[in-house]
Amino acid sequence: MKKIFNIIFISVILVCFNSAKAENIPSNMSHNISVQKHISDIGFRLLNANKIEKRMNFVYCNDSKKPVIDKSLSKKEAVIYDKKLAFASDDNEKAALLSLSIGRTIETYKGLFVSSSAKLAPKKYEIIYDKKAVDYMVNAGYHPVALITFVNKAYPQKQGLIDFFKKNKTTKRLANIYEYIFVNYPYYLENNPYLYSEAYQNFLLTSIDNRILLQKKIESGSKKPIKYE
Amino acid sequence: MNKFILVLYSLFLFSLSSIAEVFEDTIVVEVLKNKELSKPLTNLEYNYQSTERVPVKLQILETVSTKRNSIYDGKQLFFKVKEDVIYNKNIVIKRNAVVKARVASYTTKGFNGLPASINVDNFEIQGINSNKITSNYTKYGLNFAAFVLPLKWALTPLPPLGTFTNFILGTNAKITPNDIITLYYYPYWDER
Repeated sequence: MKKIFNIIFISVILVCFNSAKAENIPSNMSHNISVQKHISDIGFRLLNANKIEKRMNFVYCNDSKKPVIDKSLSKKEAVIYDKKLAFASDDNEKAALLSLSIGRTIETYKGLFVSSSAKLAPKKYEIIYDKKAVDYMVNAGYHPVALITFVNKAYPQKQGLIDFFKKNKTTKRLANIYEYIFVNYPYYLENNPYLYSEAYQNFLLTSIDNRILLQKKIESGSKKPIKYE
Repeated sequence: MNKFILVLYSLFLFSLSSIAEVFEDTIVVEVLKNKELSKPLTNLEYNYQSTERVPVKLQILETVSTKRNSIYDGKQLFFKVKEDVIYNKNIVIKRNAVVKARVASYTTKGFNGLPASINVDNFEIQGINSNKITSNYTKYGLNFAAFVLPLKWALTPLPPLGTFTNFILGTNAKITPNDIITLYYYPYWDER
């Protein structure tokens, strides 16, 4: 009798497990479809609002086993990985992530040598893409300060030997973005819904030295670029 | 007794939250105070159905270059319209009308023959909705990467000669009055 109960119990558990698994597949797929649609909507709004006449598409990738590869320069395709998308807490921050990809992808349309320049000197172009991303967001009606909060959350402060030649310190990127918004779109700094968010407060805390440099530049009226840390 | 401890604990938590420092954006508070800032324009009322377009030819009034820190982000540039812009037999933009634009970004020349670049946007033409014109122009200096890279690979078997090619620089970018910049005016782009 006990054996029969055990068999029934195990079979019930197996049936439940299988049915849950079977239901899980379509639910995952519907989740992917809705995220993909949302990303495409934001992406195309950014392209349209900025009158970008070059074609590109936005692909959502939630496969955590796949390595994060930037295909924007080779395939004219902006791949949005789950790992990065997880840091975007609202549409403004999602737009920030997509705007960064758009800036890189557009370079491919400027000819082989221009796009190879972006590959040869990624450090220099990284700052340009950040500034372009601010413009794209503003034209499409998104709040550009979200780019600061997103970059602060999603990008590590890399500074290894290889990174030294390839990447800027994230604090430097953030300071440049902040200065760009301050110079071109000060309205958004005065009307800043992110001011008391944890990510923006952390940016303010970690950027004190850089902001003092900017304040001195503003007070002196200098136009020289600042060497941020 | 338990209630007393609970009250003490909640008071302690409350004091902790009030100690937590909130950073104010001092630059915004000090520099932007009492300034009337208008919300930047967006471009959300678009309709790209129409293919009708009219070219607008521009010339810069004063040469701008990436040389010797004479350029900076946000620098105002002034252009003039080279010839009358005519649409439906009407002059839409007169010849010599002044057009304002800004330096959106620039890069300096770099190693491996990489050129400098100047990116100009936000062209403002009087009487024309800026959402109806294509408004982005980039000028590059001479790019030697096509010459430097094969040379580098050819010299790599003879170290350290390949490394020396890194030090070949591209050239500065400049926009001179001789450069004709063509933008396009799309009269029906915002009609829904």
